[in-house]
Amino acid sequence: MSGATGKLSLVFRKRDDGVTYMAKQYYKLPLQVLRPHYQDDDGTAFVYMLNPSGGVLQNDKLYTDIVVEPNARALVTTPSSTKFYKSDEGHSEISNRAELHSGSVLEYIPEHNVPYGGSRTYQENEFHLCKDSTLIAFDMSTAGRVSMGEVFRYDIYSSLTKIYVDGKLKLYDRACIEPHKLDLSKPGLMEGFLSNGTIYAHAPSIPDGLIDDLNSMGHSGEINFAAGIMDDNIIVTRFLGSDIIVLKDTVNAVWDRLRRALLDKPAVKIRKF
Amino acid sequence: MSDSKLFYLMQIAGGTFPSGGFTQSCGLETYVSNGKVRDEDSFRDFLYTYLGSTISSCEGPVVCRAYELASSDDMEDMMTLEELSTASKVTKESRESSLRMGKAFLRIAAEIIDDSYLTDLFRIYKTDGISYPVAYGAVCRRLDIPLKDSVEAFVFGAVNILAQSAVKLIPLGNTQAQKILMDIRPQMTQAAEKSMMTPVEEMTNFAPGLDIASIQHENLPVRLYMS
Repeated sequence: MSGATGKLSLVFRKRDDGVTYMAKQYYKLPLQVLRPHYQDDDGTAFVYMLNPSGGVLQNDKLYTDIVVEPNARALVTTPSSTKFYKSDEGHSEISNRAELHSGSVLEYIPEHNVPYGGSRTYQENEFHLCKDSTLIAFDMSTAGRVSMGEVFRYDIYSSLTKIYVDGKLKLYDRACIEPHKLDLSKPGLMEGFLSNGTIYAHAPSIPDGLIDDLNSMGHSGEINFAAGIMDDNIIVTRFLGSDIIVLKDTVNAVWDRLRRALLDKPAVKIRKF
Repeated sequence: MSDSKLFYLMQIAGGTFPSGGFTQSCGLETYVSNGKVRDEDSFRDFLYTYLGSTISSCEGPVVCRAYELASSDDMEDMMTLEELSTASKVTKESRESSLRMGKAFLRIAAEIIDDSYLTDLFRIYKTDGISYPVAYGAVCRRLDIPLKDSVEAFVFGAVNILAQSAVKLIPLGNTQAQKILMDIRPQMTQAAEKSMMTPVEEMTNFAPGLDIASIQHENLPVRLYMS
């Protein structure tokens, strides 16, 4: 990890009383982490990752490593969206790696990414799971600062997600969007929507009926989404939304159903902003 | 390309090789069902997206890498490529379709071509299946068909499948479909070139609308196609 401008390393461990705590933490600014707090009754550690610099600048290289030890439970989020600023030269890199040990649970649910006009961003999320670990991970982005009319003005926005189970690559999902090179409004791409997102989930077993339940959720024409299952234990739910508010409402509703089905608890309102 | 290689290529990529390609619509059936693809123009838009997102950025680079790896007897890198190729299919129908097509394609190829590499490759994947781009690239290499011809035939095959699906689904006339195939030669050429220039380490599969359509296809009330 030489050349990192920011680094965050977290290890979550389960205590004998069932509560997960942060056994190790290391950070190098501009990445930071707050102490865990607890909102569930099962000892899940809720942790905010912070970037007090306000956003990701050109040539930033930000690395995060998360280890969730056996049977530990952690929820990692960010307090607000991640802004990617214009790059006059070079690009910014975010690399996140999580290792989920046997019986562990990680909910990796950062707020959405906002690539500003002229930004050049490469993000990579890599999850290494055991077959009996549970993951719920979000990846959401907008077209830019939409409210001020900045729509798909970034140079490059690349986001790669890889999920390994017992060392085998089970999912490779990479967007590398260069809006000046293609018309994103066409069928198959963004189709006129201005935000998109995915929830990736893995669990030792997926309850019967969950996928039908997710796909039967009512939604307006302002959002299009669908949930599918692969290899019996990976769920991929894709979202397209007219704006990020609408999209996040639906993402949170799906998260609630996933939590109830996979973790036997409802979603909670996490205090932010 | 020598005449005999052309015969090989026409046999394996000419559309009649029984790998099941013509049972796939690759999400087109959902788009026709929801009205987003309803005529020639909207079908062309769909086709361009499919060429750009799935063929030239994802499957094409895999074909090229499989072609390269099949020149060596070492199976380990080929198995890593197959893991990546299957992992890049992020919906159930697209993944299962690719695995079924690849398995059928390789099973027959291994039977009719006297080549121990293909026999060994099929033996490894005869249970779980192998993704179609990996199987296709490997067979082309073992038949010694030039890479450029192999990739161009792969691109044309994918587009031709969609054009024939469009004839039945939208519907388009046969002449309309053939005109589209004739018109989009520049895009097909670009797709083949991009396939050959893109390392698999940089491959992408961004098509959120197509992915949603692929998932929704599982629950369409009436389906003519497997995907």
